[in-house]
Amino acid sequence: MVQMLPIVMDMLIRPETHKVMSTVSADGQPHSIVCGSLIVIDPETIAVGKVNMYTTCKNLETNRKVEFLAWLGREAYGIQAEAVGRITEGPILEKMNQHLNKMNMFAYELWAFRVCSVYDEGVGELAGTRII
Amino acid sequence: MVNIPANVIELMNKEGTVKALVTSSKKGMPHAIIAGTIMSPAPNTMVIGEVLMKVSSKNLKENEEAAFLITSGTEAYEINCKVKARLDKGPELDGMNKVLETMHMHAAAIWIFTVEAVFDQSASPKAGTKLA
Repeated sequence: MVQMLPIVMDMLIRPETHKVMSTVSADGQPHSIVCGSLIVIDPETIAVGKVNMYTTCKNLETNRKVEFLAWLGREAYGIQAEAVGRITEGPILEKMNQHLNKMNMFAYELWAFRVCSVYDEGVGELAGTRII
Repeated sequence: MVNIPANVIELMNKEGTVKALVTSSKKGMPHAIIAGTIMSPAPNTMVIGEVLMKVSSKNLKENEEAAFLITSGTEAYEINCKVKARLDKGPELDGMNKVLETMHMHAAAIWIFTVEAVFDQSASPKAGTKLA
């Protein structure tokens, strides 16, 4: 388990940042979704609201490895993580739904992910460098 | 092999559209990159110029299944593909590098993919619908 740097967490929580979450099916087919319902619980944990996410959830049942890619302009970070469970009640889910309510969306639960590693994926020679 | 619908190609070619390539390692770790060199030269074909792309290229050599995520605003599509070829010389690569030269970039090769399926991934109840 690793801790995200403040600069990476800031990239994840800023509303104007682009965020994509990727999973892989049991037979090796990668799948990505635009991820608007993402929150950082603490430097080691990311949570995503289950809004639609049918293929993603199916993939997570057989393969818990995920990657979050967050970018703005030429700066980008890839965060490799592993699903650790679902959150079906409590203040974190309520906070998520307050956020989603503004977009007329609702999450019945959250998926929680433990961060495993972080890579610089910005435009430049450092692309692909592991930073944590 | 299937054809990408015209509205998806139109979105792909629009200025400001975000295009990502998603691959998976043989161990099932997903990896997404944002790339400006993603395009569709024919409705059943996707290509990307190999600019950096170290992890993606390694993954594509191990696992030929890939996906492209095309998104703008709340509209998004996923194009599932399989590797057809990697060209490290020839007129296709020369043509791409002429374009990339203006951005001070260089592609070592072109990856060519056949399109296997297209899904609506928009932030709406249609998310996950197979289009082709």
